[in-house]
Amino acid sequence: MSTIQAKPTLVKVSNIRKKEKRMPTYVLIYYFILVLVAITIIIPFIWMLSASFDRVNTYELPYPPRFIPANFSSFNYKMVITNMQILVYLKNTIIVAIMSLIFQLILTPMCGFAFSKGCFPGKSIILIFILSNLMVPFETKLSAIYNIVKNMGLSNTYLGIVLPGVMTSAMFIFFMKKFCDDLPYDLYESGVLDGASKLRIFLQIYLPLMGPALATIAVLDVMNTWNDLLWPMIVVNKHEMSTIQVGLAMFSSDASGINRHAGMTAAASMLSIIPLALVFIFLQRYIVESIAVTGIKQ
Amino acid sequence: MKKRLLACMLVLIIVLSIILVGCGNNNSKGESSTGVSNSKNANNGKRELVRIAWLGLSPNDTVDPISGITFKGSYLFKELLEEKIPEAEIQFIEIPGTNWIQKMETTIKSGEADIGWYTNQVLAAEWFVDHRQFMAKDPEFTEETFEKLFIPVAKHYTRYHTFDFPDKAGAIYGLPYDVACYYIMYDKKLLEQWGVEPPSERPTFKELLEIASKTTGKNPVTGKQNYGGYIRTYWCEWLGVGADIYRPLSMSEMDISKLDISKYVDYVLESEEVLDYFQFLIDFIKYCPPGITSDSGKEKWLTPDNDIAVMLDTSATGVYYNHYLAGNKEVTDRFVPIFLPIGEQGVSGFPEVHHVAVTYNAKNPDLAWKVVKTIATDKDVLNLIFEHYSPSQVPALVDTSGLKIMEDKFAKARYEDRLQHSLITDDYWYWREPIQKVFGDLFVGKLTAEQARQQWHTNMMEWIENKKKQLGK
Amino acid sequence: MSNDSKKLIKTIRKNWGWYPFVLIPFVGTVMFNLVPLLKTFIDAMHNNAGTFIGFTNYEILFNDEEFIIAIKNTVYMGALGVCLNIPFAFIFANMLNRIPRGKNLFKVIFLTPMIISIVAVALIFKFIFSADSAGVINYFLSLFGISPKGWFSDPSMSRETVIIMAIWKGIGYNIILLFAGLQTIPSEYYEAASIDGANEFQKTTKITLPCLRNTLIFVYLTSCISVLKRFADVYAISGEYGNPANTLLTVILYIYKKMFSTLFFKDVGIGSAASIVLFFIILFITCINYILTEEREMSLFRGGKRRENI
Repeated sequence: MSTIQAKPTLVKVSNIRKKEKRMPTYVLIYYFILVLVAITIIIPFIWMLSASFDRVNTYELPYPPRFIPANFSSFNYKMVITNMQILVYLKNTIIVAIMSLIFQLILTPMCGFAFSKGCFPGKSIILIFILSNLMVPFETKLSAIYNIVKNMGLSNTYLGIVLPGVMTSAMFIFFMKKFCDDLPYDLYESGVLDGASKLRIFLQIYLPLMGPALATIAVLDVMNTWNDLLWPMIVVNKHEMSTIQVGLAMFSSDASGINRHAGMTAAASMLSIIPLALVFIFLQRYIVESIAVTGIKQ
Repeated sequence: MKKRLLACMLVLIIVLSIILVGCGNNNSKGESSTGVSNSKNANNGKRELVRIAWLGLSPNDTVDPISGITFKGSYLFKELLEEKIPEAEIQFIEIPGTNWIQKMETTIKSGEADIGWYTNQVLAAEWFVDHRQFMAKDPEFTEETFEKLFIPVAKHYTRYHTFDFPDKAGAIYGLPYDVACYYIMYDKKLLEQWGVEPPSERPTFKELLEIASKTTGKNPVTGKQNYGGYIRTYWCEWLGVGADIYRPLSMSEMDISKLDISKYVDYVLESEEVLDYFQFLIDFIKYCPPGITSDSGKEKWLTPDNDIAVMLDTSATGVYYNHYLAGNKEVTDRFVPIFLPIGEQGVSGFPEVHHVAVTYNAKNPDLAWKVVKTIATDKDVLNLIFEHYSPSQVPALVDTSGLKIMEDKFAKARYEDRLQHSLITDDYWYWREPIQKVFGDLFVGKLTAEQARQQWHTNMMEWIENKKKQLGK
Repeated sequence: MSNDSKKLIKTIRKNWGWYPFVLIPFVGTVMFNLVPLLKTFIDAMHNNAGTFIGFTNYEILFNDEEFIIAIKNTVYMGALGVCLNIPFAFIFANMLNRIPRGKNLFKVIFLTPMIISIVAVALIFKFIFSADSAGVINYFLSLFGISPKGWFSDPSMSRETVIIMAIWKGIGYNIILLFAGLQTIPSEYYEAASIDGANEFQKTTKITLPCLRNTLIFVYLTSCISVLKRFADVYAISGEYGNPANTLLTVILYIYKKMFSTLFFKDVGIGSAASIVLFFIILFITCINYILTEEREMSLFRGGKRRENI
């Protein structure tokens, strides 16, 4: 059995760049604009950071917001650690994020590849069918989905939190399909000629080429799992299994007015963002960057 | 080679995640309690599990950041209930404050709770069972007992009255355990700076408007911009109760086709009180900060930089109670709570009552009924609830001897207020939804007072017609 | 007839190997989408007490002014959001792609708004766009002699202000998606174009845009779907009311009001009917979008041949 040898030649662009000595003006303009935008985006973040280190004798954030805390103290963080089991929430969220990520990275490229390169009756119909997941607002599906998950015995488990999202991940499948559409069909044909199965063609030829797409949906999926509030709150009944957003929601509610302290919420948000930032930085190393795919001719 | 490595890593991660899933299953499945306090469960095997879905409880102690008061976790509640009812093992299901209706609904409908919590705005008939069946069998707690034990407002809003379920009118879904009492406030220091007389303990609308008009503009002492008042669309209909703009409904059968339109709806077109109230709103809004339509402008309330004189937004005044409990002089000296205005009918405010009830699919309804009774009537349990879980509410019992919360003057005054000045009506949705729709346009100045009441009347007629269509009448 | 069905079975038999690839999402959709949708459809035909009333709920729904306003708001804000979001995302993603260093840093910064909770974002934006004359933007405008505006509190500009907030929060998402597409464009093309003397603008319009077509279409289609489901940002700004004057009332906020709110009368039948109507609206718009973009896409359908005439 011969292995498929369609290795595209990879050329690192950075090698070419080294030859250029000066930066063209347009690059400088780009930097300028990007820095401006970045500042606009970072400012509110810095405000929140400063508010979390600010100790005020009120339940609201210090108003007007200030960059430097007037009363620097780690009081809010102490309160968060006393009142919330934040480490447990973080651990749960990380586990859920990793599980969701693994499932997504396995299922979505396969599905996208099938819709892109495959040819089978009912393909368009099944594609639109799967796309219809996006068209029904989640709030209305809530109790029906919960009944199914509960009857599967998955309430209060990590798998229960992850499963509905992973099995109905229309957005990423569609993205994978579009990405795969850009990859040439000749590779598939040559694979068939070599006598490989569809799965083998997928794993050995197309999957390595989907690097950027995989990294993209990794980032987006981790973020979606992190931010998801409604579904984990419904599935999980016990504090020990809550994710970070659910934990935060318990402490910024109106009904139990005792606990709605804005400084504490800001500190808790900061604490929850740190692991996420670490995950991003970690993932960045695996994003294929500046690799240009040149001529895929055999 | 690299691919092999990646593949191996992938397989490893999959295996790890499967193990983790297994661990996740073991930790959380099973009906054991949250594991904080097991000492009282010596005879675990003989106790039957009763699951209570209650809003806003935390299993651990929480410390309030401002007051430093420690509020105990739900384990204390559990211990006390188990002491009182030896045959029950209590388990609390935590319902967070945001999205609580979704969570409560999915929890109850999937059969995970024996006892639920609700306020009077929910379709209780779908979640709970008619408790009159328990009262018929229970010699200690009959329907007469129910009538005698609770104050009128609590009793009334526990009996079910809604047009959607006319055949269930008069059914009792659960027992009330506390009542909410809202209040408005003013800033004493600001009034002093302007040289304005503070309002009386129960002001009239005219008084409030006058004070607001005199305290808007540049503060004579600090020179900063001050606003006479702050009001929010979301509660204006309840503020209006004290303006006599409603006719309390009394219908034993709750049959919407028999609703007397001329008495309960058409009066709006001729009533002076309705016109006066809308006019009050239009005038008052002029003295409010420009952000009231999107609920901003009150961020400095209860801080030293406050610039609002009269606060009519009850969601902002509620926070005051935490400062009060903490004895925070900075706040309690300067910001003074006062009662809502009342009119000829002698009623004011929103009749909010909190209940616990046995769910329709409870595993052991009789045991659950026992727990519900204990929560609503046992003084030790109520003391615990008011101390740790609902400190800002007032009791629902007629006989308040032995309730520690009544030793506090503020709480006692608010209890008296609810006892004497609560609105009693069989249904308020037929005017509440219609008038809510009017406030949106009123607040941006699109309507005059006369147009507002025409609009309200039209909305009410439409609501009633739609309801009739839905009920097939 | 049986000839056709025989052909169909034969094709299925021949290509059966593809079906396992899509099995799990298909099963997932049936379980977690179709079944709930059918249940919602059935709920919409009953009143609160559970008796069957046919299409009365739809009748009430379409006579309700609030619902019509909600649809108008949703479509307006959706169109505005898509028209502003995608071009900006493209411009920034393009810039990001062309700078030699610091891509990762900028990417992380662009993603930051998405991990801050929407409640905190609303708080911050309410401060910046405060209707007071002391608000940040109003102060800025006063330096140019422009009178303070109402922003979130003014019914004539509340929707636009919410769009600004939504773009601030959501642009990172589209930038990352477009960036992934940009990375597949070989940089040799740009080199070759430089040698041929093309300037930056020409490179963007003649190389980047055509190569990015698929990704752009994807971003456009999915953005259209998600803006029609706008809820979290208007809820964070205006709570359950959709004020000022119902300008921020979107369809999902309307559904939320009818089904899960304590302030409003819980009417499951009308909420379900509104969900079904929303589903059909989204389906309709998606079909239109698909048809508009599909014909050009046909040529790239079977795995595009790369353009070789640069």
